[in-house]
Amino acid sequence: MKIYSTGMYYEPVIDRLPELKPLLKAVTGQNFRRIDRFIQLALIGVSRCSGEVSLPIETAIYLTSGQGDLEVMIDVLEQMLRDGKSPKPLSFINTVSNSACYHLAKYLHLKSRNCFVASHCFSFERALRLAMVDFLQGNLTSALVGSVDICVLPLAQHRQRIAVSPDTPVAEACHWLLLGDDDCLGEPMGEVEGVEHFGSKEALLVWLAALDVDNSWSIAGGHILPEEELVFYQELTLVGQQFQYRKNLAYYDTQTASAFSQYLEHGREGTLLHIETDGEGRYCTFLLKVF
Amino acid sequence: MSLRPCVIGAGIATCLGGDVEENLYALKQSPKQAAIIEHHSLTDAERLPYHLLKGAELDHADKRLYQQIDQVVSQALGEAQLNDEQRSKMALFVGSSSHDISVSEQLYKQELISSKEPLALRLSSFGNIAGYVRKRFSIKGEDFSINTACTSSANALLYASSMLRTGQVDYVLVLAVELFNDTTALGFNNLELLTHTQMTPFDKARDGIVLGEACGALVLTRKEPEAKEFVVLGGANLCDTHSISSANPDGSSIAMVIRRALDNAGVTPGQIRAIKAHGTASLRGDEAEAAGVLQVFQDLPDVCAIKPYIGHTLGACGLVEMILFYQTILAGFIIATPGIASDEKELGLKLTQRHESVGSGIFLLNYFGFGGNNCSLVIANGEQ
Repeated sequence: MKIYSTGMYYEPVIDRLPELKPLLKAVTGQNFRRIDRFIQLALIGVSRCSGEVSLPIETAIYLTSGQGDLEVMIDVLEQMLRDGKSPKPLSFINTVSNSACYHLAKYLHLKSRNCFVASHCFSFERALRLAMVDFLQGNLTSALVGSVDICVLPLAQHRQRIAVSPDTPVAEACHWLLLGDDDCLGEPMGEVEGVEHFGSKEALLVWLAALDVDNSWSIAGGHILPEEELVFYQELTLVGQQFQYRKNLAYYDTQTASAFSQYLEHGREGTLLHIETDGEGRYCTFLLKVF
Repeated sequence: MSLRPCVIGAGIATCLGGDVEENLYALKQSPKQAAIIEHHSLTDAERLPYHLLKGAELDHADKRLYQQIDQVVSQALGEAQLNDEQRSKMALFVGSSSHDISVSEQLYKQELISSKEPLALRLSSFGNIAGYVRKRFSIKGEDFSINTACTSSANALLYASSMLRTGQVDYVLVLAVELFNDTTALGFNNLELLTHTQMTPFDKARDGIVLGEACGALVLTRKEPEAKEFVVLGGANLCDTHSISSANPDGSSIAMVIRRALDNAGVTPGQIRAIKAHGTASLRGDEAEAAGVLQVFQDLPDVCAIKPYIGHTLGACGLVEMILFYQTILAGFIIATPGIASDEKELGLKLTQRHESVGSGIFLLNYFGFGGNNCSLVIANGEQ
């Protein structure tokens, strides 16, 4: 799957959430009504990704998130169970995460397939897998794969919900990749060469041992992969350097998506080997090649 | 013959019963009116008909959820008879519109009573159900939790089949879950989409949805199907941006997703033996579906609807209605809804009124959801 462009939003959250409406207006040139923060972030990121490109009407959308539209879900639960009020119709509809896909498709004038998918620890990789399967079957020539993670104040509660320690810096973020195999999308920046799943460390080791690595390769680990394990894989594969894309990132669930935009923008040709684990013996990798 | 995504095991729990046999028995009768739900969280005005799972008490949401999942997954895996290695490597697809929100609600209600700092959505994650199933059944393959409203498990089945067709995996388990929760019950009630009586899709008397609970599980593999075995020939997903809550009533987007599904499956409208309609009994939803179907089919095959029997099981309906549909075909008949949409006067199509005999064929299954997410699947058994 060739990558034609990326778009992102990233903002560490200290004690308040920045207003997104002015940014959304500036990025898209449009006023949107009755959409919440999750959808606003999705639109900002996708607009930055699609840029000036006129997307084919068949461009598919695959959206993922660590926790989905937390803001609307929390609001519905608190109003309903704490305050005794029934969910408002629009809030209820937006509790279904693919509501964001609807707004994305409408904004981009697409008539295409779309899907919201998630997976504990491997959400972005799974979204890529669904896109890959559709490309393999010839169902697609272009696709947007993206992730959105929002924060809900107060942050102490947010950290409990996303299961990080009380002193962990947290952020809101959105990442999009425009993937395809279509000349009208422009010049490709790189390529996702494979997204693999391994049910055990042994299976991962067999696969790693068969890689044909050269000195242009880098290796990176996800949030859960211990540093010493990454070093072990680096030594095993003889990859020359680590790509530490998470070093300066505050935490959000789909940080893995940031590896794409950061590696594509770091300005060197080469291949990134990314490894993440769920901490329960399963692993997921992807290879990102920059042209 | 080529290798195809083939069904080798199924499990099901609906208001009709906790296994395939109980469901088949009930589907040979006529639809029964759902009982009015009794639940402490609902006011008198909110006590509506609801097709609850047979024999499962509403309290203890966590225990209830995981018991139902255990039951249907055990049934499906038992029928599939996989060895430990095959089971370990299988991929898992979960389709639901509410996932484990019933458990989150229960936890928050308890905290509101007993905690100084109650927290809504503590421990909530899309991956909770998949995580439970992986551990409970020793599955180490990749897991996908899909949330596309009422098409969730239809899309799960569509992508699971694609994974098999492209040789990414050898076995998949698709799980559909939709259990009672306050958010769904009150949310739909406020949308004024629910009827106080019975679901009568495509009928002139139709006035809304009866919600239902269901769990379903299906095991598929890539193989040459035996004569009676069902295969997923193909399908399509298409986003309709006409409205976030209903399909375009002119039927154009529904006709498009049906045509794409047929193309993907490599069949023509004339080869379809019967259609399983989405049929939500909503005014505009049925109007859109009827218009779409009529644009694609010059000569209508038999059209049936399952929701009058089990209610609208939302994110679970994709898989659950597929299981019930193919099981009735294997049992030799197409589901009938006597007295519901018995003529074409209202929307130009009528539903099967008596149990039509059928042994095999190619079948179209329709599913449409909030967020404009539309999905059609094509399944078949016998010679194609």
